[in-house]
Amino acid sequence: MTMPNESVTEYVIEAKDLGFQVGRQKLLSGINLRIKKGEHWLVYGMNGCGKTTLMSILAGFRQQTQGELQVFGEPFTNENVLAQRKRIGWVSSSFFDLRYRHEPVLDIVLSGKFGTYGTGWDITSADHNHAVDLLTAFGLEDKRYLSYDRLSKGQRQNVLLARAFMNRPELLLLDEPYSGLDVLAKARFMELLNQLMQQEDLTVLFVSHEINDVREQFTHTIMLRNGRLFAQGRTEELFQEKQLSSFFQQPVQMHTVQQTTIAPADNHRKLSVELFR
Amino acid sequence: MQKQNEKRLDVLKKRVQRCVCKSCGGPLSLRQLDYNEFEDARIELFCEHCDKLEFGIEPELYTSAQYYVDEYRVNFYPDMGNNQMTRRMSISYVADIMNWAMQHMGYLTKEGFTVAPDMEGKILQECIVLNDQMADDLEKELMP
Repeated sequence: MTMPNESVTEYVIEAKDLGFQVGRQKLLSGINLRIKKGEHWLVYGMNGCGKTTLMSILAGFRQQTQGELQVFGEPFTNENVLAQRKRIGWVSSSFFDLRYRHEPVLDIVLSGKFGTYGTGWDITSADHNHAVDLLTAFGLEDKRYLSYDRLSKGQRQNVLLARAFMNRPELLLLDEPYSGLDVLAKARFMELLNQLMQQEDLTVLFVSHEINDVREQFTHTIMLRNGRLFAQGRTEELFQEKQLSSFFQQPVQMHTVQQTTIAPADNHRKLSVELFR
Repeated sequence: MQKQNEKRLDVLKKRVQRCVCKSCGGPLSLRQLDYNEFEDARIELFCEHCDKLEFGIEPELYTSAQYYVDEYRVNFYPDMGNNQMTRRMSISYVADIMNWAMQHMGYLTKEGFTVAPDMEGKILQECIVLNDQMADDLEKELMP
């Protein structure tokens, strides 16, 4: 349904009754979403609730078995899927760890240019240099010829982050991007993400279990439970004790605690925003 | 867009018949990675031997790179030791450079070489079939 004076293409993501089924098992069903350009959404849910499946469908790497999906105002088709994927930066170690094994790190980053898993023919020196610059920014400049499976979990995560930024994406789908990162790498990426999110045209969906890390940055939240949309709306409205107790199906309490955190000093070498956007 | 995507799949189909893995020199295969209707996005070139996605390289370039690495005992990864893995990584590295050079000199396109390569026999490691007389002569020559 389109509201008056509201263009369909205003939505970066529009899902109607989206579902995904493998055999007789429904992994996702009844997902209705409308995400506007420049919005920042948190995707929240317990293990196995379908977060990664949803993100992989939104990224064009899986196809829904029910419902309709439009990304950038168009459904994914055989003709446009690669072009659409190039506009999306997707990070998901739980997805890509099942696909990548012995591929060289540089090839994986370069594959981001094509929106595919592997590389292609048209790799220019500018592409190569951009990929190396991204790897350098993530501290992997000396690992570019190593195979993916020889890296630590945190290093693999950084490779996927570099891959996601190969095309300077308009839509960022980050599936637990802090997973495996050391404390300084996490702080540096959080800082970069904050800067990127200040740009009005970047839409971000962020899957995380660590709500304290991200809650303030994300104005909207999707709560998934057992493959269904439990709730969606403004983050501050959803993260209330009553709402969360209902979501977790047991009483929960929210505490604000003073935390000791480690972050790079103010004068540290920051990740340059220009490299990523 | 349709034309562009058709080209990608066509290119992959041609490469699988013509090209080899730049690490091991083995044949490539087409592998479907996802179950969906997007044919152009779900198929990739794959090396079964190395168990990895591999866009491949012209076999003549692989052979040249392999000869170069073996003959000149090149190891670009001395920190990782002298082993089969570093040998393959070095061959892959040299093959990449050769591929780049050929491409930028205009001898190589995504359809293959624009000029038919005329390679030295020793690089190709050609087999020579000897008859009994030739074998006897060779034996006398080597062990007088």
